[in-house]
Amino acid sequence: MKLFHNRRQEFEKLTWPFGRDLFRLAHWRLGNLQDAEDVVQETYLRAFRSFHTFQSGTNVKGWMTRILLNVVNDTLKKRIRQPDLLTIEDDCDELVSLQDHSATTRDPEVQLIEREIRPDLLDALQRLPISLLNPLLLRELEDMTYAEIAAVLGIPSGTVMSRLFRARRVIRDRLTNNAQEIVKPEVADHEMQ
Amino acid sequence: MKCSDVHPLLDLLSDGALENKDTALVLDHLKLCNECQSEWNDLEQLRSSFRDAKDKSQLPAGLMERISQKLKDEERNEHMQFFEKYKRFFEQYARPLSIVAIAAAIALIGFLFLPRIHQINTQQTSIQIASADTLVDDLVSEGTLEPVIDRNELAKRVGYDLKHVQLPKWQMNQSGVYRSQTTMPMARFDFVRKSQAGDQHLSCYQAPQGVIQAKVANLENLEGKRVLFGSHGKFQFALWSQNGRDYLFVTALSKPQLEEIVRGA
Repeated sequence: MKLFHNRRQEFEKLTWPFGRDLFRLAHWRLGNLQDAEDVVQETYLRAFRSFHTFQSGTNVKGWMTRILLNVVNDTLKKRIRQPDLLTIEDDCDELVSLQDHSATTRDPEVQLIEREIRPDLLDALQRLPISLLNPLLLRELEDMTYAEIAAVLGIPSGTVMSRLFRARRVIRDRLTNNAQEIVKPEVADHEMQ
Repeated sequence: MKCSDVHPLLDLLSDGALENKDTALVLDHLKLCNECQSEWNDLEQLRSSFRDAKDKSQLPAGLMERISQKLKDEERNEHMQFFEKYKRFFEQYARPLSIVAIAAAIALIGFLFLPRIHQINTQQTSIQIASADTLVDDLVSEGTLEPVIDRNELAKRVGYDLKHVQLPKWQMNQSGVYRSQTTMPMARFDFVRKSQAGDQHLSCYQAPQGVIQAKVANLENLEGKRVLFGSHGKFQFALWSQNGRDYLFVTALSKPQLEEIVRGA
């Protein structure tokens, strides 16, 4: 019994400091407070179940973030299977992370995000593909280095740099009302796997 | 440095990932180029927007407590699953295990006690009849007596308790274990008595009843004792049983003197 008890205590001691970061990332990815809470709870539960595989001394936040992004993807896939809840583009690369603006402006949770973030920035983010959005959020919200982002997403550091550059370019263009669809579909969105 | 070269480096500069040398070049270029400076300002403004939004973000009240409770529930489920698994295992294997345990116990008992039974049997079969003549011969043979002074130790070595006999005028010279390849170990006591003619010697063997036998001897009734008297070489001997023990007294004294000793013993 004590063994189990110590395991949970050790897990909480290691992972609790990142609760706010994980929730914020989930919230920005899903645009829904309740979904974000559910995702964070599921993330902690999955991490606790696989805590025996965690290598002591490695990046806890990176490990938790990787699990959270998987849970977010599972949640988004469920939404795809339940189109009544949300309209999702067929193209996987065009799967938006935040709820469709027209469908969610009535949602108080999205209104909460809108209070946190400029509406025009939110609009630009909503239309960003996940392959560009994930690196951008991990960099801007979580202050991760290129190497940390690369480890979390399982892509090379050079790819992280180029995607960050493109993501910022898209956002800036849209913010300056010069939005052009410069995002090409060749972006391999294998983070959605 | 051209503007097309600078644009990709602005992101790296903003992320603090640009080397010092390149940083200086880009900053110099920004001072001179309005277009790139504008690009840089847009980038910084975007990053500032993220920072502002990030700082406003709050963790819902009670979320971590709810997660902690869920982890406790998960932990409890793990315990339950562990014990359920153990219980199922026990129920499934209790009967075969009990049979195996009984068999193992029997095997263990056998392992522990069989050698002892074997030893007892060996001991019993090793008890051989000792000839009085041989014992007389071995009185003067080297290496047949292993000296043991302590009476309890002597009893332990020979494997039977030792009875007392009355020899008031004799003094024990030595005692020990008589060892022979043909018979079991037995106790031997050598006594000495002072006289005008010099020292007189008497040796006494004590063994479990029935071990010592004399082939040629005369049976005499001596004060209620049935004693076999005989001689071998220059020695006289007397053999009788008493209190479950065989006693063989051997001396170079005459037969009447030996009779007198046995009578008082």
